[in-house]
Amino acid sequence: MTIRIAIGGLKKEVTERVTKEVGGDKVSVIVTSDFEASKKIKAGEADYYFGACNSGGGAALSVPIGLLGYSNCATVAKAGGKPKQEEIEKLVSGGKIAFGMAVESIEAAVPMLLKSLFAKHNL
Amino acid sequence: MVAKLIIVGILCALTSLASHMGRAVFHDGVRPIMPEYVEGRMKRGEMASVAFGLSAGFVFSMGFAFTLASKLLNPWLLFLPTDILGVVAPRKWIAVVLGAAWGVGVTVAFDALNTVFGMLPINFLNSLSALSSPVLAGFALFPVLAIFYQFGKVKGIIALILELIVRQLAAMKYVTIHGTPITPEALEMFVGVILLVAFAIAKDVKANKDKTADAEEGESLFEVRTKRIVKSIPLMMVIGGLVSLIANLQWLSGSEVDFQALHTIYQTHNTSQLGTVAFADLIRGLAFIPLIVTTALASGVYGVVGLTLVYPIGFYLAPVIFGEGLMGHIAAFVMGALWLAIEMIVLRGIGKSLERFPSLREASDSIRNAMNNVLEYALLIGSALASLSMTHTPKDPQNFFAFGIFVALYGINEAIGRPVIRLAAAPLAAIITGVLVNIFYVAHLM
Repeated sequence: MTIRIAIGGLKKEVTERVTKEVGGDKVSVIVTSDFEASKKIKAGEADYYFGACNSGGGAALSVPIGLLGYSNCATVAKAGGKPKQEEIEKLVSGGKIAFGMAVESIEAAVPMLLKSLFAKHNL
Repeated sequence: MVAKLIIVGILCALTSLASHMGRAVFHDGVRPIMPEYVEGRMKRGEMASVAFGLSAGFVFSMGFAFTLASKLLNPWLLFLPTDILGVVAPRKWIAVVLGAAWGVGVTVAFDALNTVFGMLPINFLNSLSALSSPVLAGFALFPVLAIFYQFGKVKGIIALILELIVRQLAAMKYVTIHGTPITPEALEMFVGVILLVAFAIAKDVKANKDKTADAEEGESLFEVRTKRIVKSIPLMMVIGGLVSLIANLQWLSGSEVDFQALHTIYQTHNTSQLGTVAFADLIRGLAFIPLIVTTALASGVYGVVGLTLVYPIGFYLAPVIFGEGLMGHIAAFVMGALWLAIEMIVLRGIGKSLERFPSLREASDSIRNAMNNVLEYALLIGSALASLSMTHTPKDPQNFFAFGIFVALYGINEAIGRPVIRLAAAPLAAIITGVLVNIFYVAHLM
């Protein structure tokens, strides 16, 4: 199977590039807006959401939180902080489906997210 | 000064109260989480720590750096902390007291800091005005970048060429409004944004033909919590009026787009660029509308400054229509208050129309993305120029020592994983450079 990832938020082009580079043929990527992405997840047309914004939890996640519920969303990298593999591991295995990160951490956070997702789905 | 403390104090008291009551917060990321807290699924302590975690970086970087660089208060400095204080406070009156204390405290602290910096032998505050020189010129091209992001190379290049031609036509006074010249940057931005919106709508109209609209899901989502928005209107009108008033009194910069330009305008009393700055703020505001509207409708919690259009109403529209002085101040308050009420009344309508045009939503992402990138470059170059001009007398050659320190500081921030976000890193590095240069000067090492 491939993991279907919907990408929204700011610097989508960076998120898309890193996701494709790291994910290869294990992922399929849909680049869209936060709103459309959340609707796609609700409709079962996508599995996970990656989004970035300046704070990592603001614009990136506010719409997914509204549409998918707070308990399904998590910030994996805040502005001024570094993402940590163990923490992301916990969030992924805990069942979160929408992930927000600071634009400045996209390149660090996306590979960690994918690593945890691949582990979870035995890919 | 006393009037400033009273007005800012009252404003912060009210924004803190609005946060405490779950009526409005400034941070777009805190807003969607508020219902968890207001409706009792999340404890006060947890909510406070989430709000603090999301906001702290912005307060220390953008809030501090922009206020130091411009001598003007800004929303990150005032309202992100009152978001947190309102949640932390267990009672309404405590929220009010904490908010007022913050408003008065930061105003006093930053005025004192400015006085101290002003007394240093090398007055780097004057040099910091170099920050703004490239900002507006660079900013005016952001729509082109947004079009490149969203619609690719061909449309991007068309937009670039069109914008540059129109810009030069205005600069050479071939294009005027009834004989009055237009600021080239304003026209350039205007044309760019029109093109971006036109591309987005064209795409959606084409897509809408292929499928029937299914707006029901969104409506049911918005229905639940909009009642709280309506209840908040009176309180939000007072807050909106006060924000507009302090912008009118030239105490506030509203955004990363306007802070340096407003500073320069207020220092030089040359208001010819004020319209362009207001226009830039308007466009910035438009780019945030989809985000603020959707989160507000979904959560029932509004933004303490609404759709951010109360800033240009305060510093531009009110004085232009009613003049400066008391009439202008009163007009700013009244217009700000009325505008916020109008926003909140039409909110549902905006939310529904946005759903029919998803490309417009995406355009707002592209605009914010492009805006951030352009501002990062402009502020970096502006801060570098500012450092270069931090000399003892204006006749001195350029200060390459200061420039070196600046580059090192900016580089260090990058190297250690950017604890200071990029937008604020350059101005902050310039400020620290100013302090260091003074220390070296006093120690006779320069």
